[in-house]
Amino acid sequence: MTKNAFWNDDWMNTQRQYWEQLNNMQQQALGVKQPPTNPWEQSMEHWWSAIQGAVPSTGQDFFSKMMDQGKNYFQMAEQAMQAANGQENISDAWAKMLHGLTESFHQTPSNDPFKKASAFWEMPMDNWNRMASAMSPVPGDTLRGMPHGDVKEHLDRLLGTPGLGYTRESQTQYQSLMQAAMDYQEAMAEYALFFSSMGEKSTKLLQQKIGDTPVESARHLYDTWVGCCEELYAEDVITEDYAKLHGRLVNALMVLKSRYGEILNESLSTMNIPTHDDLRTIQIRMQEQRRENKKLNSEVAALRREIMKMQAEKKTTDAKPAAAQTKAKKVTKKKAAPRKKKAAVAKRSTK
Amino acid sequence: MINFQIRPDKLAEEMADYSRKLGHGIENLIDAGEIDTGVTARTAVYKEDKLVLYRYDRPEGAEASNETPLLIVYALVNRPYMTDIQEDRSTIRGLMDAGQDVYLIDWGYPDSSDYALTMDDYINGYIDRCVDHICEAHGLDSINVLGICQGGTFSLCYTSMHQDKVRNLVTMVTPVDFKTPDNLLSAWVQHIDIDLLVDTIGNIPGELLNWTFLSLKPFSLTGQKYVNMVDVLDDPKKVKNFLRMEKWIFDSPDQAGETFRQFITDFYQKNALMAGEVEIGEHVVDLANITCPVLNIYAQQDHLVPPDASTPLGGLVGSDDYKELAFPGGHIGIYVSGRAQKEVTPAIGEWLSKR
Repeated sequence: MTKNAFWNDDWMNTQRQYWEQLNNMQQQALGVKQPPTNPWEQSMEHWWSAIQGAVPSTGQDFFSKMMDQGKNYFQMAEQAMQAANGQENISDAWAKMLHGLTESFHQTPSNDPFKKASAFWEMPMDNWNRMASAMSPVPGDTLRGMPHGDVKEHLDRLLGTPGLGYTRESQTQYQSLMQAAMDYQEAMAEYALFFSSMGEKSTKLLQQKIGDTPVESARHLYDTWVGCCEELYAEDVITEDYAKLHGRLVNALMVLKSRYGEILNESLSTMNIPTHDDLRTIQIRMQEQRRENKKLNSEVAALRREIMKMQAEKKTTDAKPAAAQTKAKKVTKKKAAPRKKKAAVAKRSTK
Repeated sequence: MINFQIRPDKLAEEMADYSRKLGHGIENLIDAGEIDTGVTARTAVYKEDKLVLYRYDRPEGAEASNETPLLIVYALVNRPYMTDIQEDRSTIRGLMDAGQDVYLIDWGYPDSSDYALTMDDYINGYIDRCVDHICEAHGLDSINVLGICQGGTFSLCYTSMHQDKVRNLVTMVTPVDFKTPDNLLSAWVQHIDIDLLVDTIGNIPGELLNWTFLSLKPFSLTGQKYVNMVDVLDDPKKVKNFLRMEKWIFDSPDQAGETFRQFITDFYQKNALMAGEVEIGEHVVDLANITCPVLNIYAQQDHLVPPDASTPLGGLVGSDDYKELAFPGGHIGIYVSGRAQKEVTPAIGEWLSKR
């Protein structure tokens, strides 16, 4: 046992046993059963769920990310090892693993051993879903199961039917919302497809990059894989095709949100609750008012400064004649004094 | 022939090592506590709506050698504490050490009541009143301005419209040409219906901006960096620094809808700053109006504002005293790397003090 209160070496031994078992199987070559599910992930998850409460909220997300990435990092190596099972030449095993990974981008059945590595390319899409969820009243993946392809074409036609009768307006709004939801789903599907084709290319690049360099650690494999993905991604997302796809995805989400908003506005309006449009008008008017106030304040401040300046000038101007008068008086007094002196002298002399 | 040499025992050891580092690192994570932001003491000297103008405190008796104060105008996206992120990685502190009297505008977090704030409100309103405040406090007619990223673009617009109030202008990682071929952000916004976006969601949520920035390098920024972090998890100081940076990355204020509308439409989609066609309030922004000395600093490996987006400035300003400084690093490294502390801030200080 280590001294760390949050760490126990026991479960590490479980992992060791797992890898020893895998090693033995490799040595025994063909005809051995599949190894059990990787206990590394399992035990790490148990450990994390046990201590999660003690970790401050600021660190939880960060630590979860390290856990998740750790899984990604070892999954590749684990899959390579599994592919190597039964292969006499380890390099053939490596080729098998890459082939499996490439295939997984075409079709990803749930029991595909390469699914986890190919899922790495779902990261951009996953990031989008998180962001879309944060902005939507429904979870980001709600619309993923919407119909598309031929079914969508039929629905498009159906939803294009004009509304009839007393509820015509409302009917049209809901049709429009459905249409927007399907368009968004289609845009998401196109976006995801773009990344899956890049995933396939990345395995080829990985093969090229590795070349003759000995792959000695899972970390080396992971870092090279990330480098390949990033390189291909950078090349493809700068293209006009991607820019259009990106624009379409964002625009489709906005149309959908806008349609939601229209229906919500209708409902709020009937309950005499301020709508989005009402609030927008208030926001704009408030800013106009604020702008006007600031302008007036600034003008008042300028006028104050002007008045103070004028007052100061007036004081100076007023002070000048006063000073001149005082000076003149002093001069008069000074001139008068000798007379007094003379008078005093005269007085004294008369005594 | 691929030379694959990962043996099961080696892999087991690697996994054990990774797990052990995670296990031991958890203590450092718990001890990290609350993440503080901004390390240099400062005083709020002016407030207006959500804006706060700070002046950074100098030690008693240690006057700034440059009598002309320096106003830092940061971008609206992300928070300005990036310029003062930690003790040994602080642009603010570097500038103070280089003899500058530093002020900084903190824009705050706009909410729905700020939806209708326009670029005119930000530039001819907030920035102008901050400049006036500093001028009045120091008894000066003009001050030095340092604009960062989008704040640099705002500073260019401001100087073009109020040249008499700006003595020297420094721009850092500032986009001027918004349509260079290597500008990913620009490529991505070209097909977005900005009017639809702003009309629908009003203020632009920070989450949307985060997604955009992380999408520039999704595998490195949302994956690999966490694996790399495990290697330094046993160092409490590094954990704290990493968490501080992580906080900053995801601390993206919402953007006032109307400002976002104009910034993306006029600057990114129409590239109107290059053409001298940006209209802000009653002014048309012509960069040729900028006649004061200009120092333009860009990062050579900048993936957000590529060098080609910054360097055209030299051909557009009307100044006879234009200088460029190329920093060998990225958009963030220009504030936080060790090299930036040694090279960038002293260079700015020296350049300003000479003028």
